[in-house]
Amino acid sequence: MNSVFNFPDYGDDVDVKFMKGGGNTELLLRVSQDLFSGGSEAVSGIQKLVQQVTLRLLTPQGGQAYEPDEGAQLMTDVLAGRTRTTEQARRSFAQARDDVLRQFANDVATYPDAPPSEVLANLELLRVSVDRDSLYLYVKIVSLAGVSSVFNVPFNLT
Amino acid sequence: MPIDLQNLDGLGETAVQARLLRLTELVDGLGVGSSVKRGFIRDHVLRLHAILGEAYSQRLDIVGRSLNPLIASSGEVDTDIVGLTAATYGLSRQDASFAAGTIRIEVSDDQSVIIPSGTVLAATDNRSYRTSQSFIGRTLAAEIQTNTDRQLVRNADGNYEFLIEATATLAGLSGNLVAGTELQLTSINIRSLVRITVATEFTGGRLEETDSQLISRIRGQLPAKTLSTRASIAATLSQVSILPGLLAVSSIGYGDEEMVRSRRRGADGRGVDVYLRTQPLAETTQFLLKAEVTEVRSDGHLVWSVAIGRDVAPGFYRVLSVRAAELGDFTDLVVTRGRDTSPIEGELSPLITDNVDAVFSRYQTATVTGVTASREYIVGNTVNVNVTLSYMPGVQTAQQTVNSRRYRFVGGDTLVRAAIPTYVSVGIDIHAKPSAALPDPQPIKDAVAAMFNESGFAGRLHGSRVASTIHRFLPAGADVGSLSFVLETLLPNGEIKRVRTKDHIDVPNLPNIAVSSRTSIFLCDPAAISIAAYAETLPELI
Repeated sequence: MNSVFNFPDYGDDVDVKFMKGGGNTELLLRVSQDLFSGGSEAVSGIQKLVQQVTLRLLTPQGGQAYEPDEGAQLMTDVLAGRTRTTEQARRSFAQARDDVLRQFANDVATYPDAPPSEVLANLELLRVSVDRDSLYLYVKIVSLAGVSSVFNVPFNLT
Repeated sequence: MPIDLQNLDGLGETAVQARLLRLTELVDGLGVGSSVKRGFIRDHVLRLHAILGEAYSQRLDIVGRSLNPLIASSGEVDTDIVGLTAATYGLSRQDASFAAGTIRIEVSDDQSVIIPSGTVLAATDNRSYRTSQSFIGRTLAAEIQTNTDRQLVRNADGNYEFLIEATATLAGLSGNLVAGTELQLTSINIRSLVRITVATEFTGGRLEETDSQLISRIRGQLPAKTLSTRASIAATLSQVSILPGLLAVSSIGYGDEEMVRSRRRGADGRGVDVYLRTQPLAETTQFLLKAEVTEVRSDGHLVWSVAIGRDVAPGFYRVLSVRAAELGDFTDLVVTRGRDTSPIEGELSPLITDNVDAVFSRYQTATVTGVTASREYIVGNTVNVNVTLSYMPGVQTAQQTVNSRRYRFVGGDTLVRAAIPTYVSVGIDIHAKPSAALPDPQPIKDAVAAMFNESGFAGRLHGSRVASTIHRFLPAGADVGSLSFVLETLLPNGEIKRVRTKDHIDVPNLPNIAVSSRTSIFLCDPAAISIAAYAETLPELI
């Protein structure tokens, strides 16, 4: 029988990896799998949580059909050109942070037996970098298991 | 395929989310090692599955209801599938129809007149009618060449007239129009035109049959096609091959107070009298009959008599007019109803021992007397007259069915009668703030008329139902003020019972002459509804 997953940081259930990153600021660490051909990848552990936080940050509020509470204000502000300065971006992220933390808290209420590694304990904006064409948010998350990860969420502003 | 989805809009959020939760728990329970409660698989696989699942579930509910006439009234149905279901019962949806009638053109000169195809004639309330053929009014009979050529006839006013056919430009009941209504030409001019009037009432206008109406007819087809129970009598008569458009049936039989026909002949009430309604309103048709002078009065007026046989508009309700082109309209019309129960080939006729029991049935006959002013005729002279009758179609067809050996009840006889008509006129006062927009009156009239005409053998309707029907059409700031109703019931004994009322509308309860809620229906023509609007002038509060 083929091995299904081969991930370096063995954790809980795996999610499909669908975001790409690179260098020191890559969004997600890669976990290889050979269940599906074509080089698909899976994520687990803290990387899975990173992906799920990023998904919610990148989803405009109300952008998910039949789940109007999903998503955050951040993407809406980026698309509306309201994150052109560091101060604007910080303000927008602060609102988005509340949105995302509330949604993860709702998840815990729905699935109270979720493992601590999949429960978001905190979300923090470390640094903002903004120029004419792009916005980079350097974000740190901490799981309830005490594991943390820092990653960069890039936006194209043009 | 009717099960295909058209879109994924309009699903309930709560239903989709509940379905997604169930789905994630189910898949999570499989323990396949994939994270399904949150993340990509949940958002992009299970969520879409939940949306599609909810959409298909709703669609299947609609399809299921549309296929099952017993539960079809409980919610939304698919119009196409209801049509397919109807087809399995041998039924089809009734198309919209346009009211048709005849129009009298009066001109002052004895010269040919051309009315082109597509000529539009309008009433003052914006209802309009169109010719679908070209008509030519010609001066000499010898010039008549086609079936749309008409001869100009000198009338009692000294003008010349001819009749043309036309249909309403819009489908529906609102195209119906009473005889005598003045019309105006909108697309052509006629040089010597005196007036244009409706000669024969425009009738037969109907909107396309709705799903609920068709479902009601399908349900009527479920019982066995036998004359044994009330439901099966209705199912028998509403078969496609007999009366596919049957709207309401009521059967009076053993033990019913209204079964006076059988009791009269000493048969202890055995037998069945079937009362039916085949159309929202009575049909109106003009028949060419003979009138004979029966008396020359001392003042010179002539009394004429017209015999109406049982096959002329069988079971007719009213004689609306009698007119001879050379004499004009007859006045002082008196209708005396009789009966003709002579044998009919292939039918076993019911026993009728009194004229009153034949009224509104295919065995009814009548003699109409009327008066004209002419002095040019003597007793015994005859003229051709156009007699306009209103009637409920289908009485003869239904009677033939119940008389046939195939269907007739083995334990007694069956008489079919047009339901006893209670004509309803409605006065509606609408009170509105001065700033409120006034509603279009025609949709209100149509809806109120439909409410009465689709009420079956209701017996009683309350004013609140009329008010709530009207309210759907009123803008903010407008309300129904008062309602008034005038009811006229045509009793089988020839009398007309008139009642004015405000709160509830009842048919008379006279079972000893076979009149009750089991035998009488409401007939409401939109033209018999008047609407008045009043401005409310209340002081400002703030």
